[in-house]
Amino acid sequence: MGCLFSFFFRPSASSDIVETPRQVFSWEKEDRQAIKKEDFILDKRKNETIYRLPGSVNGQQFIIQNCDNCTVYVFDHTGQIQIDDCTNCRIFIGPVHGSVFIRDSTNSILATVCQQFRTRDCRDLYIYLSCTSQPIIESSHNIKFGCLTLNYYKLDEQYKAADINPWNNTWGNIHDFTSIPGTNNYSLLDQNENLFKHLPIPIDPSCSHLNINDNMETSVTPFTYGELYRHRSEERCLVVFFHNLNANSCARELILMTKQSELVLVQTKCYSINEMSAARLFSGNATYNSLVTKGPVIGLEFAGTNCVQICQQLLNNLTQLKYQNLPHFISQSAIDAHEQLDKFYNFASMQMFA
Amino acid sequence: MGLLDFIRSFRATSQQELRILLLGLDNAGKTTLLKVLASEDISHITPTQGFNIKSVQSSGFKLNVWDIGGQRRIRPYWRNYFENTDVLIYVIDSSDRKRFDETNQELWELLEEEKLRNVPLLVFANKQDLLNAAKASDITDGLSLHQIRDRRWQIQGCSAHTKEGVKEGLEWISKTIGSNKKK
Repeated sequence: MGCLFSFFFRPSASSDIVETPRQVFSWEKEDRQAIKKEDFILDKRKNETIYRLPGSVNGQQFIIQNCDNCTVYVFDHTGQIQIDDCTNCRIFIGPVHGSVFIRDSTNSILATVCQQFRTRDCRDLYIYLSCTSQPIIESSHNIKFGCLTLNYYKLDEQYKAADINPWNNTWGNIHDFTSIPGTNNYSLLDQNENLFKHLPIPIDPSCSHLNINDNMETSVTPFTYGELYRHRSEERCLVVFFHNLNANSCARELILMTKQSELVLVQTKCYSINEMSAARLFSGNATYNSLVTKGPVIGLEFAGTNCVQICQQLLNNLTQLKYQNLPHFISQSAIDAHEQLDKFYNFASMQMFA
Repeated sequence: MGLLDFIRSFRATSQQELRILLLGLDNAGKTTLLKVLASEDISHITPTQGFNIKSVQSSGFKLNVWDIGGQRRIRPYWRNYFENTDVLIYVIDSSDRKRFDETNQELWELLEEEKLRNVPLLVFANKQDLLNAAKASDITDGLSLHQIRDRRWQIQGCSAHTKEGVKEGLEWISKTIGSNKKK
C-alpha cells in the first residue's frame, strides 16, 4: 500500500526542511496549453465522412457528440473516448489508452480497441471490440457485440502506445448493470459477422497506403470465440508460451495451423504468473517455475475434437523446425486441460484485477 | 505538523481506525486512484461492479480505503458504506462536461446525508491530463463548493494516470484529520 502507507506512517518531518515551490503539473505546461481541444471534438456533424490518420491524434482524448449519419475513422491511438447523443453513425477508434464511453446513442456501429468499454442509455448498436477488461452496459438495449479483427499499417505500434495487449480480449463477457430477467439486452455476433460487413470500408485515397483489412489471419487481435463457445463440451487444450522474443510469432503461427485443423481458439491471456501460482498450475515442475520469472506468458485455449493430440502434433512441428527450443507448455490430456485452464484463468483474475 | 504528532493525535482520541470513502460517478477514476494509492499496476482495471477495498496496518493503527461502484443503477447502495467514514473523497472526471450537472447533484445529495455530517471532503478533479478537462477552479465554481459551511473541504486537480496531484490531496487529508481532535 505504498504511497498511502508511506504517507501516513513515515517518520516525522524535520522542522528545518525548506518548503519547495509547488511543482508545475504537466497539464499546466506551455506545450500542452498550445494544443487546441477543438481539433479533437466532432460536434453536430451531419452526413459527413471524417478521417484522422496516424499521428493526428497521438494519444489525446477524442470526443464525438451530437452527430447524425456520419462515418468517422480514427486510425491512431487516443486517450479517453466519449461518444454522446449520436445517431446513425459508423465509427472506428484506434487503440484507446483508457475507457470508451458511449451514451444516449442509437442505431450506430462502433469498433474500437480499448482498456474499458461502457454504454449508458443506448440502443441498437453494433460494437466490435478488443477490450482488456469486462465490457459493461447500463440501461441499454439490443447491443450486439463482436470480436474486432483488424490490421493496418503500424496498428500494432498503436496498441503499444495505448498500453494494450492484444492477447487480453474479453469482448463477449459482458456485464449488464440493468439486466432484466427473462430477456437479454445484448447478444453476441458470430465469427461470420466480420467488421466490414457492417462498418463501411474506408475508401479515401489518403488512407489507401494503410492497407486496412479485417482478415482474421492478419488481425492484431486474434479472433477468439470466448462466450460463443464457453458452454460447449468439446475437448480443450491449454498451450502456454513463456516469455521469449519469438513467443508472439510462434503463438500466431500455431493459431493459423489449428484453424486449418478445425480447432477453435476460445480465449487467450497474457500476464505474469507468480511462482506460487506456477507451481500449482504446472504441478511443481521446477523448469516451468523458473521460466515464469522471465516475464509475462501467453496462454491459448483451444477446443475441438482430439484437441490435445492435434495441438501437440502441430506444436511439435513448430518447435522442431522453425522455433527450436522455444520454451512452452501444453496439456497432456483432456482431463488435465480442464483443470489447468481453470487455474490459469483464476490466477489471471487474481493477479490482473486484484 | 510532523507525522509523530499525527499518530499521537490518534492515540489521544483512541481512534485506531481511519476509514476513507471513495465516491463519484462511474468512469470518474476512483479505482485507478485507489490502485495509485496502493502503488499497484493500473493497466488492467475493470469497471467496478460492487466495491474495492485496500487496507493497511501499522503499530495498532489501521487505514481502510473503500472504493464503491458509481453506475447510476448502483448509487442507491452508497448509503450502505457511510457509517464511520472519517474522510470522503469525491472523484470527478474533469473532462466529462456533459455530466457536470449529474455529478453536482450526486455530491450535494451526499452532503445532505445525516451519516456523513461533518465528514471532511476532498474533491479530486481527476483527469486533468485530458484536453477537455475543466480546471479545478472552474469545477469549484460549478459545484458551488464555496457554499459548503458545515465541514472542511478541499479541491485538488490531479491525474491518476500520471500520478500528479495525488499526494497533494493526501497532504490535505493528513493535515485535516491530524488537527481534528474531536471524534
